[in-house]
Amino acid sequence: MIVRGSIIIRYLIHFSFSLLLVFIPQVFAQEEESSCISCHREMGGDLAKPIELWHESIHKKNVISCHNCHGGNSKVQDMDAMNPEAGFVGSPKEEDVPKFCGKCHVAVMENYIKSPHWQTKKEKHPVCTTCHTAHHQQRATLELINEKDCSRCHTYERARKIRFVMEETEGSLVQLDERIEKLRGEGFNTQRLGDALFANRNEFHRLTHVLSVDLIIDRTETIRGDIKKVEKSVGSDEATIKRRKIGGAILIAFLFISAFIIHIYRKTLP
Amino acid sequence: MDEKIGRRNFLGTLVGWVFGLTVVGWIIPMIAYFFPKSKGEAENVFMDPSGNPIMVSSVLEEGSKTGLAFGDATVVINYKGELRAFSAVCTHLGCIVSWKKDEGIFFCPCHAGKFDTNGNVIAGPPPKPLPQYRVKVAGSKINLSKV
Amino acid sequence: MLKKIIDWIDERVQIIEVIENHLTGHMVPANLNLWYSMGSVLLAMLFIQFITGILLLIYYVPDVDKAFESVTYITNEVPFGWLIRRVHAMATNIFIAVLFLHMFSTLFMGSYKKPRELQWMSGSVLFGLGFLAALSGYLLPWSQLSYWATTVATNTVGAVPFIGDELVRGLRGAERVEQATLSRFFALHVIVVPLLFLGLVAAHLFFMRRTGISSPPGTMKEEVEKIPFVPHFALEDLKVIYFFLGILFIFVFFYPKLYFPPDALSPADPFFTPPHIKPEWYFLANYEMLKLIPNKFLGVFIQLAVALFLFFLPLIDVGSERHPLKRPIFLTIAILGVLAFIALTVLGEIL
Repeated sequence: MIVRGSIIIRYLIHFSFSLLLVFIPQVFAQEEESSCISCHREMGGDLAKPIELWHESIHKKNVISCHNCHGGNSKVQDMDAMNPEAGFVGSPKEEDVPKFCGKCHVAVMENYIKSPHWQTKKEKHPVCTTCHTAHHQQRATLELINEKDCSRCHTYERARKIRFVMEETEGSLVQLDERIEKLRGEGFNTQRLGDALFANRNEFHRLTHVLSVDLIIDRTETIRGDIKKVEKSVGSDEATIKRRKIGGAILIAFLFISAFIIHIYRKTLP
Repeated sequence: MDEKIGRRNFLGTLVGWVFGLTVVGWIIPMIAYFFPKSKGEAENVFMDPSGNPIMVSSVLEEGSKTGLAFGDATVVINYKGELRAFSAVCTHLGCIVSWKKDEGIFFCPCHAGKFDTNGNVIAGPPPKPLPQYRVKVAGSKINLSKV
Repeated sequence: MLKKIIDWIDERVQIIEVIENHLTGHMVPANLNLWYSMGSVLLAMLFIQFITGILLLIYYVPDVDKAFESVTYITNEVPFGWLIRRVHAMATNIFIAVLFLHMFSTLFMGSYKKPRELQWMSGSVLFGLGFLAALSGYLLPWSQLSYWATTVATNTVGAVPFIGDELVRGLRGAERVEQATLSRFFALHVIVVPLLFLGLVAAHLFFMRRTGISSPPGTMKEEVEKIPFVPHFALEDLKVIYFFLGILFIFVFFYPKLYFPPDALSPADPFFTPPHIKPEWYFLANYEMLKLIPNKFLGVFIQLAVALFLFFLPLIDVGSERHPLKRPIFLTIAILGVLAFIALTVLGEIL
């Protein structure tokens, strides 16, 4: 009897899981898929690899899909999707990569082409994808500058200096970002603060693509001034949260004590 | 016996206070609720970051100036002799747009958003047009007000 | 001065007599336990919902382009707006939780039996109404959470054979959740449901006064001592109400993320479904049941049958014995029912 019961339970659990698989996609399959993704996924292998990578990228998170960079007709289900006349560019030549990414990341490109990375006379020079990858781009952090990656081509010395002068500002950007996210969780409207911080962060990161320590130090002061402003605003909101919690604790204590007072008063009634 | 009655009276008063405080505690936030912060719709002088007003002449000469109004970055342009003012904060992610005189557009350096001379989006990811402000020239200063 | 006003009124409409009859003169059994205060807690929560609801309505705009913005305005710009909104959202959870307690105690104490069948029936309609209020109010902030929870909830009705699709369209007022849906949910939430609540609560209380409060099972009616409702039992009620208010505000001040998860903080996007959309805890059992039963129609049918069974319970279970231990069959079914409900809820939470 017990054995049969456990079989039934196991069956039920198994069954509910398989149902889940059937049910959930039905509810959630609202997102439309581009022909790029559906075809390439079917092809498998190296041709499907970019999809997997893209799925984990910041571009996917911000709803930037294949055609936003590669052009073409993402709604057409045949080879015409890759018609060059519709602006399709498959895999850009290495020297065209900065222009390819620079379609959107304009100012980054402008700064990058001033940098030794681009100006170098050597035959092979690093482009955007060398550090940021081609499809697996992540939100940029200071970790991008590290000994392992930089010393693929040159010594780490200069990069270490750049990282060093960026560290403090970058640290406060990251920390502020977390604090703003916390405020949002508490129901604060952080749109303006978030935007201001993003603008600062963006300006700072753009600037570092020139790879000039002097330029970074020169501009850090202005940027830090702007960051301070955001920080002040965040701090005042955090103080508000604290005040609310103290008020709340007092109110809650009042309510429970009141319940107790009423309780003992009731006992004294005949 | 008297002690018991005294205790009851004391507790009764306390219970009265509890109810009184409860009512007051409810009513104060409810009244305050009807008085939201004012939105600060008043006119605002267009100025540089250190708080000095930006002169009309400098906008006319240079074609455009970015400064502060309503506590945020604002751009005033000389469009065929007419002054036009917009929020300079890109509606996409908040970067500061700049006026490209040759192309006659506002351009956001972060993700290549473009806006026309009415603030409308013509290219790129921005979801909304740039808010435009009403311009009133007061002497050599520029007064802006929200539309 | 106050006495003069009261005398003036009393001279005309005999108000003191009414008070004597219904409050101080209203005698209730002295051995009522804590469970008997749940109704008063519900009334208090309902009162809070009416007040905070009206306040929110002052600034809320029922328009798909402005709803989220107006709610953001309330919580960020209006003094105490954040508090009013949190109380309104959290009091729903307390209301539904106490509703469960109220119903379970009635069930186990057999208080629904003759002559209190009408109380039970009006109560079970109020129960459904509570859920309807919660569901319709959920959409109004027009957040990602609102939008997708409503999309999934209205979808389930599609399981009804033949007219399922029409029903879904009827609920939404369109093919998908959009302005038409917001408008009708708004009307439902701010006028239809509250009016029904007022009428049914009045009926519920009227029935209670006519039949008198039941004494706990196991005591004979004649030997029960009586106490006046005011002040004695009213104080008991107030004590419990203050206790539950304390609990309400613990959540309001210290755990806002429980009822405003991240998805509640971004505006609705009809083209992006956030992962892990789940209904509120009180809908989980129903939700899980629909998922577990292979045939969608069967799932909806069983729920309907259970609801009808509960509604007609006093007409089905007609024995006069009220003590749960002396009703083994009933007790078994009731306990199994409660356990099944809890199990489904837990399953819904973890799966």
